[in-house]
Amino acid sequence: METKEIIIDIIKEFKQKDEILHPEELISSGFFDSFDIFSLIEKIEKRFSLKLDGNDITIENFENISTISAIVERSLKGKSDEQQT
Amino acid sequence: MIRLIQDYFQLSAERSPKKVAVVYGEEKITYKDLDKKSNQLAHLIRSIGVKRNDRVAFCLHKSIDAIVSILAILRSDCCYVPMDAKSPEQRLRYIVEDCQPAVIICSPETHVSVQSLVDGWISGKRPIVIVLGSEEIERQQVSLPPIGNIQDDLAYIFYTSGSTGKPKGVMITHGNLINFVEWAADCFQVAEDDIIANHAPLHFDISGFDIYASFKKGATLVLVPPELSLFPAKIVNLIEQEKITIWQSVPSILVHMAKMGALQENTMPSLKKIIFIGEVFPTPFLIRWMKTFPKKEFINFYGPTECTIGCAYYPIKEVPEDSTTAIPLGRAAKNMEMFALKEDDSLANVGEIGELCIRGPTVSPGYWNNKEKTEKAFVVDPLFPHLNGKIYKTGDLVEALPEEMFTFRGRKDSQIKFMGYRIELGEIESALYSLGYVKEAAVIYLSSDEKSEIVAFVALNRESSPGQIKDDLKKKIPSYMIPRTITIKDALPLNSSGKIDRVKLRQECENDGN
Repeated sequence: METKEIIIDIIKEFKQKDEILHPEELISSGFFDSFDIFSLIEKIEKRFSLKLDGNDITIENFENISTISAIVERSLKGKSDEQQT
Repeated sequence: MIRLIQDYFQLSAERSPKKVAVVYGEEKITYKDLDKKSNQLAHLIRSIGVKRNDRVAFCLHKSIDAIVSILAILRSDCCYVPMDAKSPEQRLRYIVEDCQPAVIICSPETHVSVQSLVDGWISGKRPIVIVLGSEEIERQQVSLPPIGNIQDDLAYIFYTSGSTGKPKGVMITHGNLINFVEWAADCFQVAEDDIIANHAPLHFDISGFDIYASFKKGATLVLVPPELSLFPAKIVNLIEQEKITIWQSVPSILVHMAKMGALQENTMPSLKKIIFIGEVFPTPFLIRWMKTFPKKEFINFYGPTECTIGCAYYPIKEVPEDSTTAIPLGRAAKNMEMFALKEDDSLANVGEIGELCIRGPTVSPGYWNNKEKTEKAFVVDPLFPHLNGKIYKTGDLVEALPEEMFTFRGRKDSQIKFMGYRIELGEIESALYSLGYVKEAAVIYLSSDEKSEIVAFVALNRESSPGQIKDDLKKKIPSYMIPRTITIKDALPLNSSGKIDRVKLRQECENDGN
C-alpha cells in the first residue's frame, strides 16, 4: 500500500469515519480539531515506526493528505539514509 | 487604592500610558488606548440601561477586543460571563438562559450564532446584542464612567462542566480576585518589565492570572493564538520573538512540546518561569523540561475555579529523582488554608488520604442560581462550626504530607481533567442519552503518563455509526468532551449489583491496547 493510502486508513480508523469529506482542507474544514492532531501524529509515528521532525508539524503540512504523506515519506527516507550510513 | 479588580489596570495606565498592554499577532495596544477603548465600550453598555451587578456575556474569539470587553464590562458595574465561541449552540443557550445577561457582546464573526440564541430567547428579558467594530462605540465618551460596584459584587461567572449534564456557573467577586492577584503577582515576582503569555482560552479561569498579574504590574500581555497550540515549534518561535518571560498553561501543551521535539537547549532565552496548572504534569515530561532548561524556574500551581484561579503553589527546585515521583500540590497561598478531611470529617494525618478542603478569602460565594449544588460543595467548616465560616470541598482526594502539603491521589466523583479542561463524565453520558437513540452509555477515561483518552461504550435503539454519534454529540457538547472512540455493543455488561460494569469495560480497552 502507498503511504497516502495508509494515512487515509489511519485517519478513517481514528476518526471512526467511512469517508473523509474534505481531504484537501482537513484543518480549515474543521474535520481535524485541536485534540486530533497529537493523537494522529502518535498513530502515524507508531504505524510507520518513525519520529516526525518537530519543524514539519505545521498547520500547512496537516491541511491535506498529500502534505501529510510528503512529511512521512521524507522522514522514512531520512530513516533509511541513516540506516545505510 | 485598589477597590475593584480593574483599578490595577487604571493605575498602570496612569503610570505608563505609552507602554504596550496587550499583543495579539501583529496587533498591539497601549495602556492608554486600551483605557480609552474600554471606557467607550463601557459607556455604550451603560447607555443600554444596565444596572449594577447585571451580567454581560461576551462571545468573542481570543483577541485584543476580548480584553477591551472584559475591562468595559467591569467598568459598567457589571459582571462578565465568557462564552466559548466554539461551544455548541445548545450549551451556549443553556449558559445564557441560566445567567440571564442584560447584554451579549459579539464580533462580526460570532454575530450570527449570538443573534440566533437571542432570537430564540425563551425565558426572562431578551439580552441586547452589541457587535464590536461599530461606529457607535467610537462616538462614546473616553472618560471613566462612575463606578458603583463594591468588593462583594461579582466580577465574573465562569461555567464549568456539571455532572447532570448542565454546566455550573462559578461566581467570583472583586474581593476574591483582588486577594488572589495581590498574592499571586508577588509570589511569582511579576515585574513591570515582564512579558506574560496568555495561553489559556479566555473562557478558562486561569487566564485571569495572566491578565490581572500583568495589569497589576503594568507588564505586557501576549495573547497566544489558539491554533499555535497544535504546532509546538511555533510556540517556541512566539516565545522567542515576543521575548516572553512568564509562561502559564496547562501541562498538556508542555507535554506536547516535549513529545514533538520542541525542547532544544539554549532556546527561549527570555523565558524565566514556567507555571503549570489545571492538571498533574506527568513527571517524565517535567524531567525532560527541567533537564533541557536547568536555569528556568518550574512551578506547580494548583486551584479549583471555585477558589479563584489558584490557591497553592510548589516551586520545583530540583529535577525529580525518578519518573514515578509525585509533585506535591504545594503550599497554600497567603491567607488561605488547605486541609484534608476524612469520611468522618476529622483531619487526615500525614500519610492518610482525605478530601482536600479550602478556606480563605478567595473562596467563591457559590454557583450562580444553583442553591443545591452550592450547599453541597460550600459547607460550614466542620472543624469550627461555631464560627459559621464556609469551606469549599474540592472533591480532590489527596494524601497529607508533612509541612501542610498534599499530593493529588484522585477524585471522589467522576470529574476528570483532560487537556486542562475540567469534565464531568456524567455530562458526556447525559449528552449521549439525550440523542434519543442511545439506550445505554458508559464513558470511561483512560489515563497514563504517555496518553489520555476519553472513550465511550453505547447500546442503541436503532442503527447508527460511531462517526454519526460523534457528529450528533458535537451539537450538544464542546469538542474536548467528544470521546475519541465510541464502541457500539448489543448491550453493556452489568456487574453483580445490576449496574453497568465499568471495570470490565476498562479492562476491555486495556486489552485492546488503548
